[in-house]
Amino acid sequence: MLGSVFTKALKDRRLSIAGWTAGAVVLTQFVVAVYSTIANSAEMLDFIDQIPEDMLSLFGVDPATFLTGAGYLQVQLYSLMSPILIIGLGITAAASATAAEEQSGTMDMQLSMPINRTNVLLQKTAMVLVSLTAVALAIAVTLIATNPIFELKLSIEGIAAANIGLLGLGMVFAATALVIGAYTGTTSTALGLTLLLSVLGWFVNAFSAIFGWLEIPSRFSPFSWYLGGNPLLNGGTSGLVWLGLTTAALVGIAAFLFNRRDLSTETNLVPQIRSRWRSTEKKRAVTSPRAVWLLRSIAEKSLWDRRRSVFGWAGGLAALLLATFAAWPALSSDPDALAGLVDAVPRELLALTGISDPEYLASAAGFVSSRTYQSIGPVVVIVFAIGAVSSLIVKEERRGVLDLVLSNPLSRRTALVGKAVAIALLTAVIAGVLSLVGLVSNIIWSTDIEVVNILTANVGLALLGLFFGGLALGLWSLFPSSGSAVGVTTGVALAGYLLNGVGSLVDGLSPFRKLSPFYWYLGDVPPLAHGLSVGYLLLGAGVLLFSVLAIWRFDSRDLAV
Amino acid sequence: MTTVIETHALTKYYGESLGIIDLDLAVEQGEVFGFLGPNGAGKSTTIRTLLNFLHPTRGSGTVLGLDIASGSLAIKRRTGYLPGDLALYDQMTARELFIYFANLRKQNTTAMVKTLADRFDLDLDRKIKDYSTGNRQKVGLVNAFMHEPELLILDEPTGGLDPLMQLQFQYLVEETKAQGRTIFLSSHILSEIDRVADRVGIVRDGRLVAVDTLDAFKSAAHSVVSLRFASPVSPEPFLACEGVVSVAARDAESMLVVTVTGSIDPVIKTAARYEVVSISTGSGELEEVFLSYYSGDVDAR
Repeated sequence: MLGSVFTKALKDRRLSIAGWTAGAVVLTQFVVAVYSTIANSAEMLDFIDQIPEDMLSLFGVDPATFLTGAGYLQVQLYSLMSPILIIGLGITAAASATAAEEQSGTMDMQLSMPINRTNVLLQKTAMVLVSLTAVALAIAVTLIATNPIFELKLSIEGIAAANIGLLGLGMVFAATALVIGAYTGTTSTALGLTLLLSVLGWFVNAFSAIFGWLEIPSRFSPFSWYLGGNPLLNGGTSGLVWLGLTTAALVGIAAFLFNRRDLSTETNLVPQIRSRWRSTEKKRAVTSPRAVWLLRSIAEKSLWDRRRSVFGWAGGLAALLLATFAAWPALSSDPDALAGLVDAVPRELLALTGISDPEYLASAAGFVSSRTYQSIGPVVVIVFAIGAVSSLIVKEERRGVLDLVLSNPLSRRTALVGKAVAIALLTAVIAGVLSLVGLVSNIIWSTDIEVVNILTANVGLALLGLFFGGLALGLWSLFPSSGSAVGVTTGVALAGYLLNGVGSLVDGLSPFRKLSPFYWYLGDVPPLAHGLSVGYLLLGAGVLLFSVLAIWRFDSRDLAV
Repeated sequence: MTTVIETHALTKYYGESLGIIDLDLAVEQGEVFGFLGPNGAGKSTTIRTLLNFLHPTRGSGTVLGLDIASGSLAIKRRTGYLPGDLALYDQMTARELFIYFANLRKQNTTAMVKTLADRFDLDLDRKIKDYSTGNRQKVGLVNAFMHEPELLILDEPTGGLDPLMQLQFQYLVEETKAQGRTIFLSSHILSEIDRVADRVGIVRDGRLVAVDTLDAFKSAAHSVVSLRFASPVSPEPFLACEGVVSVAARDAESMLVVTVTGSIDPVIKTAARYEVVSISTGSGELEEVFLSYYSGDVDAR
């Protein structure tokens, strides 16, 4: 596998390719399985009739053909889901093809071999092509296999044309990422810009049916080349040729740009571009020192390190909370809408997301809880807390920065307590921001939620996050070198989440449900509908226990290299 | 003279591979001690054990008279450390890093940081991730010296430094030594410690195989004396001299190349009996002495 740039690149991305391909198979099977339930259903036809035509055209739905296998799949599989899949894989693979290697400095080594840049670029492009072909082929094969079973009545020509088009669409955007990556040498720019372009391309094509003035620009969108003429139904179109030609042209441009550019180095990122974009080339000097008042202790420095992360997460959650509160007055004044909230979604699905009693959804406390405190909130605080433990503690030890920190006259206990306190404070900041937003919103939109409950719900949320952060910390102190602390904790969190959800559905599992930290937090009553609970105390005890374990263990073990 | 670093049978088994075995080390105050050995010999393990990052499997040690485990905090207060595998906070500037560490030390180091940064020509106000390898090493060096510690433990200090900066480092070491402070300097290359070390300990496969002054190592090295005479001279009298290993005759015995261990005085005295046209001596063999220790040709003493 290490015989050439191509095979090496393929080997590096084998896991990613396998994952995306498996995802494509699962997605296809899922979409096909759903078709079997709605095919020939009169209700579905009625439903489609009720939806305005403009809305349908946005998703490429043609009422005349939607209930045929080809028409349905064209919409459900080919117009949005599989493009996301293939463009996602294409641009991540292409953005990292040259840019990632430049950023890590291995491109210098690569090009010190007797091989020219065009050759390297083409081999990397071949890697992307093979990856995307794997995905397109997986979808095609799945469809061919399920075609007779579900009576989809697809033609082989149609399947081939649709998937070649899909491959072409992925390659156009992959090649775009390649061009930007080859020109700038930075992965994030290539990823971001291409993502933006692909979203733009999708919108222009989707909205062209509604807005006449988009008709002309939409002809330049790769999505129109790909979707136009309904290839799954009608076979090959001229759009396929455009996709192929554009890809080839873009790869050529990428090669041209890559050849005439200075390679960036670790310390000096693409100087000529910087000077072109900024009138006066400044060194990356910062007004240093920044935030000196936060450089006094381990805890304060840790706050400084995570400042962006905490404001991002807290801001996002606060916006969600605000939106939920704002939606309540309109909902509560409409009995039908309220009933719809409770009945529209199957109880099983709600239970899986931690909402074991849907009746609460018809109350303000239940409704607001369901959006912020039962679904998104827990995920955010857990991801935040585990992430903070990972970056402030686990990675610092693995990188060796902890050696330098601990060469200062402070004990390991002091250092670890400082970092743990910082993580607790940061999580408290998120809970505090949410409390404030909750209290104010409660007044503005007169939701009449108990003030105490707003505060305790946030305490519970913070404790849930810290529980898993603490678990990661404890595992790290026991197994420092394996680096498994973060992975295992994430797995445990996921298992706990599922146990709580499934436990409320399956009788045999319901006793075990009480073992899940999510049950301690969520219980059967939404967090905003009750005050302090025993579950919160259990979470708090867990946090304390893990912290003590970590501090004791870290004191007595060797620092990892 | 007081002993600054002292270990007794210090042993650290490190996973499955050996770390260090029965290390007996004594570093005196005011000396520059070179800790020399090939990669993976146990140099960094020794240092990290001294700093209480690793707990010894058995044996004990003191630094500045304090036990390496129970006195670790006091030891670190009075010690400056440069890790061999230097990792820094990439998002901070060097100035911020020094402020942070000075705060953790509860010491004001502003003046010293400025002096050292000027000396090493280090720009303090760029993010550390933008530094080259050499500049990162300078950051590590400034951090080790900024609080003017009594003891400096430097693990491969000159890696990535250009010759000018290496010279600057050499001066810094000499000044530090002149102030009566102690420097423990680990390296895998002789040239890094050749000019600065008073004594050298050689470590191989986790064991200390030799400790001696650099001068002693140098005298253990072969010297080569090349003698050109006005007329041919027989090698016989030189072969009879004490310490002579071999004599090679060239140009029909008008030139003799004499290889000597120890003092070259007997050879010079013997040569004085004849008419000498020119004489040159060389002792470029020091590297070979160390290489022989590295490769295990010399038994542990």
